[in-house]
Amino acid sequence: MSSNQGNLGAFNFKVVLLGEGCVGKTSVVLRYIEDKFNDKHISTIQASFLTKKLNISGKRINLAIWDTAGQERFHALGPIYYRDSHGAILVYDITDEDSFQKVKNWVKELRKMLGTRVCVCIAGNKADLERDRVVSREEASRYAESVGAKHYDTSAKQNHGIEEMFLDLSQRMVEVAEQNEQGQAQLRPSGSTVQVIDDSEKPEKTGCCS
Amino acid sequence: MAAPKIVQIRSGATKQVDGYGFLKEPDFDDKEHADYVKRYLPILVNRRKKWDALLQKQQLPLSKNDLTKRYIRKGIPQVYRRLVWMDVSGAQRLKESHRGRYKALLASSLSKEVVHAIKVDLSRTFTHNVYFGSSPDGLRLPLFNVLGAFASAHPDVGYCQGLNYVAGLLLLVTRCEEDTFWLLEALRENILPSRYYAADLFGVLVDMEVLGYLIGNKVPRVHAHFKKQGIAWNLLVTRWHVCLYADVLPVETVLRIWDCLFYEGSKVLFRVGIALVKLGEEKILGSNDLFAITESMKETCTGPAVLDCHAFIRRSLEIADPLSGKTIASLRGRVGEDVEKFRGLRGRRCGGFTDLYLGNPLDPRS
Ligand SMILES: Nc1nc2c(ncn2[C@@H]2O[C@H](COP(=O)(O)OP(=O)(O)OP(=O)(O)O)[C@@H](O)[C@H]2O)c(=O)[nH]1
Ligand SMILES: [Mg+2]
Repeated sequence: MSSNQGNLGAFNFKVVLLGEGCVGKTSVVLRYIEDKFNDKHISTIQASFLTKKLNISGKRINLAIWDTAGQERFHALGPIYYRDSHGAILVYDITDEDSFQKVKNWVKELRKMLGTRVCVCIAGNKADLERDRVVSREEASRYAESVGAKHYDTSAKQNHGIEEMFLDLSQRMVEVAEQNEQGQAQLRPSGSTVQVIDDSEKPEKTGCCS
Repeated sequence: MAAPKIVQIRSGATKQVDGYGFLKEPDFDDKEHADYVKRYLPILVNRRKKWDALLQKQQLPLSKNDLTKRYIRKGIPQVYRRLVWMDVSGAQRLKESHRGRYKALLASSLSKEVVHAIKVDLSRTFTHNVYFGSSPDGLRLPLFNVLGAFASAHPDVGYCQGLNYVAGLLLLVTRCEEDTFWLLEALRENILPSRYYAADLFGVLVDMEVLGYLIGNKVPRVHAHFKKQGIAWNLLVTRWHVCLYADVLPVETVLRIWDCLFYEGSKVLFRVGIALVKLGEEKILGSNDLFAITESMKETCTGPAVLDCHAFIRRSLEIADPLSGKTIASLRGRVGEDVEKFRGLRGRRCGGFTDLYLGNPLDPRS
């Protein structure tokens, strides 16, 4: 993973959402980016990404947020979706025990593929359905802590916990990046492909000659 | 024909929907659509007359010849679509040689996982179509039945997301659960390559590679651009292959593609893919990151040149001509071996098999 401060002092981070089908990954992203919720989201077959700009105490941060397919067989398409990620949000549905087990699998896979450099959040989504909860919050938090992740209760429906989660994740990614910056300034890997998304680098609209 | 009409929806609201029950999207362009209808309507009327005459002279099954091929390429009238699809795809033959099978499959039991996977997608299929709303006489139950039967028939495949769109659109056209099932069977048995919707999506992976390879030949500038930008091809085209363009392109265009698909086979899927990339070529070349490229591809897919299905189909069939079945078969074979090899090397879960041949090391030409 490269350090990610572009020449304008902005951090460019890639964040990926992973988790079983129908736990609410797309809903979480749309709530965060567009502050919208509707129950008509379609299942995600083809991963896509959206971007968000943040400013945390004067530091400019560009997030490229990747929403992925939940159905297992689409993972056969390989790890392109999480390759080079700086952060990962593993989402489960608090009313679905299996979806929490899937999170544990993802933790293993991410640690194997990306090591400890990747900052991980675990989101217990659909927290508005507290009455149907089957995954204990305590257990989930304890698990998260044991694997160096942070646990959040979220509800895309009621806009709960999502902003904080992304904010916290961003702060942790900045810390990691700054440590890397100091520690291994000369060890910058050449093959890394961090997406640089910065309006200053976007090409002018075609046909615009000013 | 997707001529707009007014329907009364259960909630009491009146909304404008097309002939298949799709609600107008917010970005619907009335003027553009009216232009297209004006151009397409006379063609439809004419094709209908021709088909009436054809079917007077000739009973189903249609014989396979150049005339039939030409008729099908110019579009099957909606009233005949179900019958002709059933015939030319071989679905009718399958259905007749397996009498009672569909009923039996409906009665067989399904695993909890499969039922769950299908159920969560029912309310997420064609959410902008009035027939897929929550009303009990809608198409959700038939869709569940078809997908469940298909999963029972092929436990190794189970339910693959994307099939909901394919089966959903088949249902909108045929209005018949059982025929929809047999059309899916025909797709699997006769039309798509093996292991297409398999648990490891092998056939889809191979076809994405093959399309990428063909793009290299037919639209080399785009190929070079992707390579230079390091963009993974399958981030753009997964849905094309998995949904057979359903929910990707305008409905009428998809149906015209499927007319050819059922008669000529899966080759048309590549032709369409090439035509789309060719149409979007300038926009793609002007986009320098994945986000911009995705957006420009989306624009192309729903733009006027694709909405005009008659011209688009002609363009697709011309653009990659000749494209022999043999070429496709040998490409699929070669790429398939590479995919197997690559997976073997890396192990399935961590298979770096991602950049496809666009990002190497899987360039079939090397
Ligand atoms: N009650 C409640 N429902 C939610 C919440 N978030 C999402 N949902 C619903 O859960 C369903 C699935 O949401 P999606 O966002 O499509 O789930 P996904 O994880 O992206 O699913 P895949 O794309 O198939 O992997 C939808 O019907 C949402 O409306 C939430 O916080 N509370
Ligand atoms: Mg989703």
